[in-house]
Amino acid sequence: MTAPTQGLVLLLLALIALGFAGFFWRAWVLYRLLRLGRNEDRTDSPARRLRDEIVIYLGQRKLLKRPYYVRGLGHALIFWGFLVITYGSADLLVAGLVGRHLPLTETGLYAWTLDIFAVAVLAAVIVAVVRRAFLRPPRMHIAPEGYVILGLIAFLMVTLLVFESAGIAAGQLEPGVTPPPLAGLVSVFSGEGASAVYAGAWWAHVVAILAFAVYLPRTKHLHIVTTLPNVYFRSSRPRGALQMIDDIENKETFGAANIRDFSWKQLLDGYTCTECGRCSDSCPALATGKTLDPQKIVLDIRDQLLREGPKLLADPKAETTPPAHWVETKPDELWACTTCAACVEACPVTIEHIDKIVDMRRSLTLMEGTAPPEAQRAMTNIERAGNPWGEPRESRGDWAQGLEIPTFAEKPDAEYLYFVGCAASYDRRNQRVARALTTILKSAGVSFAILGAAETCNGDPARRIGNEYLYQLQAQQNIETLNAAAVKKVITSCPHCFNTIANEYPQLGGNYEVVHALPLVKRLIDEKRISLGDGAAPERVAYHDPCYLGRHNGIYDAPRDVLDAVPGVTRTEIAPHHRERGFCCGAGGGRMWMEEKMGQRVNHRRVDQLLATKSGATKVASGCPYCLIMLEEGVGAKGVQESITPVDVLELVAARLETS
Amino acid sequence: MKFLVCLKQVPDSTVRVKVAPDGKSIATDGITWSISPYDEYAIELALEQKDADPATIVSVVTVGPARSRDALRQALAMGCDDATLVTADEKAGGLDVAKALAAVVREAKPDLVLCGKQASDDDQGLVGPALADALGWPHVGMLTKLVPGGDGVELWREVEGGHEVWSAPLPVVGLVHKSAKEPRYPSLPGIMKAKKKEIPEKDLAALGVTALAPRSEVVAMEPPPQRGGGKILKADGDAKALATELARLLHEEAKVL
Repeated sequence: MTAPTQGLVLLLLALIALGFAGFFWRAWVLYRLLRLGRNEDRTDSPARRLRDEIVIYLGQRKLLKRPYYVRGLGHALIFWGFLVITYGSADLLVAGLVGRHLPLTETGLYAWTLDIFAVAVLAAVIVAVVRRAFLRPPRMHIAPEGYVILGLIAFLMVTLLVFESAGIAAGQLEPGVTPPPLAGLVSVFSGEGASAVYAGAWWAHVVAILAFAVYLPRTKHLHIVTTLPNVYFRSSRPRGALQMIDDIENKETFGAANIRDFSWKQLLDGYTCTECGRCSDSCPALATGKTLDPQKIVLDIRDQLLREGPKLLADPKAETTPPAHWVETKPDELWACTTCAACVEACPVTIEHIDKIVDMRRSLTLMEGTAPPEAQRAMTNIERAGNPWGEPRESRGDWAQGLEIPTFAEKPDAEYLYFVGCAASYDRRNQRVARALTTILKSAGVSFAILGAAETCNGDPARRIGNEYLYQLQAQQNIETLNAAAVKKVITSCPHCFNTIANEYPQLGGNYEVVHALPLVKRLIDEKRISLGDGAAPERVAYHDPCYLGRHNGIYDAPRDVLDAVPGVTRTEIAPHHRERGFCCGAGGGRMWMEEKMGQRVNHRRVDQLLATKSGATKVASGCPYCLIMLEEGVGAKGVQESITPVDVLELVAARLETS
Repeated sequence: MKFLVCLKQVPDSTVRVKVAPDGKSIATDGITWSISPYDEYAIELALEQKDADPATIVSVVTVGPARSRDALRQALAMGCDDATLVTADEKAGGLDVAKALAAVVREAKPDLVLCGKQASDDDQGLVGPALADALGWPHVGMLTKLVPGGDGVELWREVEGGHEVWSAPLPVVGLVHKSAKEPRYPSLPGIMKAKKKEIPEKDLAALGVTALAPRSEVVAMEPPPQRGGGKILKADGDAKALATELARLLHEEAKVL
């Protein structure tokens, strides 16, 4: 096609115009629908956002993850092939129109790359089809459009290879350095009809490209395009921090009660979802028979936008229906979420599931007042007693009686505040963890004090139940107390306290240097400020990753390092559900205070996983008071309390402290 | 239908109550106050009627010190329409409170007056029946449910092993034991609206109530004795000796046999 005739150029022009019109018309509609959403600024830290594009979009980082390495590689090949071949396609159209080529396209290197990818893509497509048809992944939604797209891709690759080889055979394309995939094909087409095959395949290829452009934005394969902005505009908040409702006292509506209440970014998430089901695969609620399905949350919002959006565009005052999760499937779905972030971690295209769920919870709690009764009780308790259990406010510091632990009032120059948290203050089991930590701190000579009765719940459960108002009241109260005591550094033994004070208090102007006890203890061990001896018999200890240490804050290694440093302890993993694939204990997101009536209890499943490893562990160690309570309950319910004991890592350390 | 719910502000159930230095009252410094739980159930029962029929009006009133205003705000936040504060001394007697409430009721003319069956602080259960008496109205206690119908109301009472259904003409005083649902958690717009609502304040004199000389007096208060540790009897095989020892302890030490 180096010397295009005028008629063919016109035909090509018309086809390109049709293709582009089909794509951009739909893109324009989708863009306008997106603008129905609430405004939200996602333009901060451009450098980090660009880095994300390179790592996550171009690098396919979130696809190449345990346990999806092979499938992820298949996708990456198609994607990288798509990039290389799209450049070739653009060159094809330009060359067809003006007879000139884009840079590099005529080099042997590009020809090689193109053809190797064409074959690789073809192979990956075949694998994908076989997988869909015969090895269907359990929670993957298989729609016919998937086959159409795979068919189109395969067709593009075949026509590409055919027109190239036929073109070479007919002498109409420069053979250059013929890449290996083509060498064989060239001989196949070297005959009378080579020219006709070349022209036919070329046009078929061009028509397929343009058909693809028209079809793409009408299917989930739109993600090829939308992932680009979705990654760029992903939240720059720490993962553990929920979005704050600013100026809450003067607002009239809270949370998401209809499609307009979601932000444009939350709606963009819907356009970007490829229905791969990785989020659902990793959801502890879904795995234990709850109605919650994180993928469904994203898709329902998208479907509702596509269904009702056009009506809202036509009439800005039109009534909207509540989110599907209130009506079609009941709010049970929303209340089942433990905010463990397994879905967020798993999503290859950086969809933010928790924010949507919490926004809908906010509406249910703050606007409708329909949180589950047990959750309401927990909130009332936080309000009145400063802890979700409803234990007396004045008794908060009682656990420390007789232990010579000073309060900040008694020791105003203490370097650290130990923010004890409700669980370690009131729950008898977790009081032992608080005592273990204070013993370690004293042994290391760390200067610390507690707040005693002046401490109050950090607000995490209230915030995750959707009660942003109560959360802010609690947070402000603590920030005032901490600032009045001129606290600079905070230690917590609870990952929820840690996450909230470290990642969420800055939103309200509370900035402290916060450290969870386990990274601190690791430092104390490294600096030889504590020494550990063989105080106890050798034992195998399984480590359970708390979600708010691990996935939310990336603290995977420090607790393991501490366990490894404890003499006599051999660490085991609850594989494959460990590290970033750790399985929730079931208590996050305010679930600690809600009943769990549907399906299997999440903590029981966790104990099943623990037992299934057959690692010979006699203890399971964690770094979170909720996990400890849930594991104890689970171990008891399974009747294995004789063979496996839940503990906190801190207790193992304290038991082997050598006093010098 | 018009409801008037009478409530009392009491120390919250999460408060660890301490006896004041005078030995006759409790220490109230820095404690959390809330609506007495049975009164909260009464509010919930009334608001459920409002949910079913938005024309229903639910008013609340309390007789007590100025801090009681917070309890009224809480009731407004839950969804009550208006509130009245009758200021009175902390130690106002039950009969005086009943008379003041009666004056408020005569003015407001509700169809149904609901009170908790007793306040959770002194547990006297006096004000409700005394109010009905002062008004010359019938009263029905231990309510768990109400169903308006015809000219009156069907009142469900909890009794041992089941419930009774009474019907009463209006107006009537109902003393609430429990609601089927937990008292509702206020919505945030409810809290904000309640903050801005005016709460009219009256005192006993304005209602034409002269406080009676106290008819009863608290002589002394003391905290319950510290709970001692439990006693564990070693099961060493001789069941008969063990049982004998257990019986002896229950009889002589625990004095329950």
